[in-house]
Amino acid sequence: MTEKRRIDWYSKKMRIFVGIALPLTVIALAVFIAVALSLLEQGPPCLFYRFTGLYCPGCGTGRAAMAILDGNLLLAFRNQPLMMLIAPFVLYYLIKVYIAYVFGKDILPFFKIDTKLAIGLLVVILLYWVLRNIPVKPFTYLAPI
Amino acid sequence: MAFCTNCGTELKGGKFCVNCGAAVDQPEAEVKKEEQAAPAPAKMGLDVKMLVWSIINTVLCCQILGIIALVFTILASEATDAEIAKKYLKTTKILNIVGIICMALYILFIIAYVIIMIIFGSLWGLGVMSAMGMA
Repeated sequence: MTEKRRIDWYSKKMRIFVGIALPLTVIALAVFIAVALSLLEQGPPCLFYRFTGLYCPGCGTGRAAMAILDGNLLLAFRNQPLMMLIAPFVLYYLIKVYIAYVFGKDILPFFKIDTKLAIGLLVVILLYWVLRNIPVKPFTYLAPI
Repeated sequence: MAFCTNCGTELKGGKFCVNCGAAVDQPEAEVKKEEQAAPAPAKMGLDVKMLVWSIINTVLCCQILGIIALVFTILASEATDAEIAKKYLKTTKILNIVGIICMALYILFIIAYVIIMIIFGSLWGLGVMSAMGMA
């Protein structure tokens, strides 16, 4: 009788493997994205924009990434203000989860997130989605250039 | 702590309530009253992992899926029934996994596209294309 081989994601072997393989994969992906962006001179096409002609919350990320590669943080913010504001938090949280998983110790602090904050984020994302499509002066600063 | 089933005063032991004199019986009833006095069932609290995952999905890849996943995450954190909350979280997890798969497919597609472009470009640059009569 063969027994099902289940992966124990929390075994030491798994944690060491993921601990090394994950950063390497991330670095490889980052290098690839940098190379692809400079070769193609544009980011990947947005399907939502293709089909509706309207900007989605993620539109402008490619242009923002190219701006960051050039060191131009201001241009990056101009193209994707929402992303530039929440990306640092998301990155920090991902690093925190990585360390907690690989080393078993959740040492990085993170502020407490409650439902109100989550609802606020949902509202902000929806507003951002709608407002950046209004072709009137203050809102055009939310749209990518 | 036990309470009198008749008047609700805390029983100090013995066979009769010191307040109303009712006989101490039906231990289940006393326990039930205690449970009713307990605070309302706790909500599950926000699952930060699902929240971050939903936001990543919304902004990077599948906006609709991500927004729906985000809504379900909020519903799950506010649900007072643990079973319903678990169901909501399961829905969120499924939506986010679909989102990650879409993102992975998208990335693979782009990788293939870029690699083909590089190969195409270097073949062209090396003169292979003209040798083959294609450029």
